[in-house]
Amino acid sequence: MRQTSIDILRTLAIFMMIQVHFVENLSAEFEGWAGLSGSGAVPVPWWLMTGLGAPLFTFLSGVSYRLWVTAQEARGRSDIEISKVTIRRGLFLFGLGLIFNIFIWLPEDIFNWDILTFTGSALIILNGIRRLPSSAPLALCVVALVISPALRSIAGYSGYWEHHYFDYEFTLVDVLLGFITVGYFPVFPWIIFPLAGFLASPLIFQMSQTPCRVLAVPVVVGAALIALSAIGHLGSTYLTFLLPLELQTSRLTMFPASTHYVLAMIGCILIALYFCHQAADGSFRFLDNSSVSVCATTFSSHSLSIYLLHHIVHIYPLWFYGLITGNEPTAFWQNAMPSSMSLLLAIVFCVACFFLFRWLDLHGKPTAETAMRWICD
Amino acid sequence: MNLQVPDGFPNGSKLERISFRPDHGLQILVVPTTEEPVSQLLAQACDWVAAVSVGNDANKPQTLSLYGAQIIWNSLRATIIAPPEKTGPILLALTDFFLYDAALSEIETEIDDAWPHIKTDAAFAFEFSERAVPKRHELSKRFENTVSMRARLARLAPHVHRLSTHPATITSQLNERLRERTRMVSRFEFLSSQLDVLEDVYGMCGQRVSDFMLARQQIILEWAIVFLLAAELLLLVTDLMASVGT
Repeated sequence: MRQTSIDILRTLAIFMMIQVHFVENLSAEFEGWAGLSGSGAVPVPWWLMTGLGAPLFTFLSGVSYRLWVTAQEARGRSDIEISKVTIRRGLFLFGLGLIFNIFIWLPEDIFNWDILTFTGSALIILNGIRRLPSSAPLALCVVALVISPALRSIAGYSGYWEHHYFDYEFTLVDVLLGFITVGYFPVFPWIIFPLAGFLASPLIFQMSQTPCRVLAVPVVVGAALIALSAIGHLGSTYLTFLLPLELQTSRLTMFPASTHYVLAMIGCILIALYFCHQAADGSFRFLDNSSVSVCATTFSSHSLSIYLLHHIVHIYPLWFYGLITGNEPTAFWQNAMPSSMSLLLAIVFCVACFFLFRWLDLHGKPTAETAMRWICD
Repeated sequence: MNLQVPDGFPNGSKLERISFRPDHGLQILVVPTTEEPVSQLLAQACDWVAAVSVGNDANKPQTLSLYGAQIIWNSLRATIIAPPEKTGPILLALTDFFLYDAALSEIETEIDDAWPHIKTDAAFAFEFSERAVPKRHELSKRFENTVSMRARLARLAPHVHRLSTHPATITSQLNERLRERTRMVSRFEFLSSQLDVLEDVYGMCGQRVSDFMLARQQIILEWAIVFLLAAELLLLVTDLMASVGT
């Protein structure tokens, strides 16, 4: 059974992702603030919601996976079958991520460790921990949170991010380090998001019967994490003499995902998911045919297709235009149009996506999701 | 507690209510009689007792005749029609009997309620898993209920298997006859064997849950160690790779 709250938040994550990608890839040449997604040097407009989509999306993947596993168990599906499907899906996403990198970011960026390869890896890890007691994934979260800054420091993170994007040599060491700690979405610390979602799922979705409370466990935990992030942020800003230079992460950045950023994001998402669940699945339960449900379900159930399509739609014209005008394919990357125009294109794409995927659903046409189910289930 | 005597019964009749539990009590109507024929009173008493047994076969009025005394009863009402000198001992015997009968009925009801769970819970007597952990409080509660029922049944045993007194009195004879009529001994045996099954299942469930939770605590510790070792290994490997890379 679909949870409208998850669909709504995933749709929100998709909207944020589309607008950020359109604006950042088509028009990064503007004045603005550093934002969450930049490593400090790439300015973004004040209205661009950077750094929020990916944590929300990966957290929700953990929540959905837990709900999916529970539903499969309730249907009497065996443990081995669930594992096989999960691992096949994980490998499918991992492989698709690599193919996607080749065709979208061109072959030299095959191992940039984007969100698809990460989501595939996370699924396989989640399958490994799903039978363990809850304290095991919690311990893994804590370990990942603690060692991630150390790993970045040892690996020399800044050396891989010369021009505000992940720039690696085609060597085994760089590829592995990218996957572990220095890529766009490395396992450390990003694995914390799906793990946290996996842990939070029963906490939030078993509370359907209880009335909405401001001091419910997810809200208190979320607020505590945000407070911890703020304390850490202030501490590392004003007590820098306590930490070696490489371990100082005073900035709230997505690349690299600083400890403060991870804690704050999980806190915000926990609170948002709790209230959204209480409202959308509880008090104001939307009917299946209501416009909110239809819109959220359409976007959420085709998140993979939309992820692939929105890159094709806005990156391929850039590459072709660069080639046609006799330049490098990447000549117009981040330099094609004003940011307002990019935002307008992003909105047009979202509207077009809705009608396209509604049409595909109504006519039973295949999408990336149906292909994944056909291959993996 | 004396209540209003229903219409149609002679003067001197008394209606009493005895509560065994907050939700279960018995109304006893005591009608002292002279030498007159009691057939009219008997029919009236039957109607009065039957008035509370709508739609329930188990509560149909039963009658017993002993030494000129007539007793009509179901589980909610009873009428004693007897000479005045016998009403006291009969009331005592009836109260004594119903006290233990109500206790036995209570256990029967509880076992009936517990029985549907046994099919799903029996699986946990063989194997307990992580996904069953939230059920452990429920299982513990059912185990406690089973033990409680067994304890109450054990306390009933001396009364159910009470030997006849010698010389026989009207109280002891009535008590014996009532126990025979309500098959109290057989019901006790059935309950005992049903409780054996419940005890076996929930006893084994308790053992499995206890074993599992102990092993789980150890596993958590082991996993914490594994994660720390893995973290250390990862740091070493990253350090090694970084040094190879440079």
